[in-house]
Amino acid sequence: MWAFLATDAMGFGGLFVAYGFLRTRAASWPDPRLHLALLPAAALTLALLASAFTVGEAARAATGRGRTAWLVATLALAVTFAGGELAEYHRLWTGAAPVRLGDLYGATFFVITGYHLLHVLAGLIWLVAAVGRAERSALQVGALYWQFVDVAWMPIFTFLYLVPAR
Amino acid sequence: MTTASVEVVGLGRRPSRVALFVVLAALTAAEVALARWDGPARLQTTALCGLLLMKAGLLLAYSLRATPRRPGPRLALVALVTAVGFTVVLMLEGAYRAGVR
Repeated sequence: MWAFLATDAMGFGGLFVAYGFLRTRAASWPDPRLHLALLPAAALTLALLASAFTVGEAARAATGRGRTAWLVATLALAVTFAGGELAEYHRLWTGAAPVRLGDLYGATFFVITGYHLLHVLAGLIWLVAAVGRAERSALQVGALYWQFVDVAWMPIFTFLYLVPAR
Repeated sequence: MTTASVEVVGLGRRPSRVALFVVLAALTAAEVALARWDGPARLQTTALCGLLLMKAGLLLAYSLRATPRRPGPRLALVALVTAVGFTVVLMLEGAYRAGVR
């Protein structure tokens, strides 16, 4: 798992370097505040942060019932995040000034957030499989993966949503 | 409390872990406030990167249950922080070059 996380971190790192290169080289770059919903994204970030806590508590729980309860809470937060991301995609795709894969801004946004969303969906599958029957050691490995997904979201939120284009 | 149980507990008891996530939420709120501020862009970007590193560091310390006795987490932490560090430095350098072009 450690080797996988290290290589996956390099994958995200490569995407961020490409994003930084393309953004600084672009003749113009739209202000994220014009297209992206900042407060809903901040709420999704808080949901993801909370899920890192709940999955950590699941891995620490001494009883099977405690593990299940924390995993269900994590699952709810993960579904909230994934649903929020998909709603954001729908809003961007169908809004008054649609953001599409064809332009550089849209391509970088959808590729980076989509790559992260794939990780979230993989985590969701694991969470569904783990609820009610996870052993503690397996849970600790899964929790580590989920917390990595949370950490990976932090630079996405900062660089794609917050850093201004001026 | 034995050494093993200290390692399992990681950052401490649950209230301290809750406090950690309150701090993370506060840092997120500070990021949003900073993003809405119409100040100098370079200062804003640098401050946002600083907040990002603080959040990532806190989250990594929590998720890896960072203790100096565990070599696996220590090595992974080095790889992850190096990746983040390289990214931030390259982006800042790119922004600087774009600014002086």
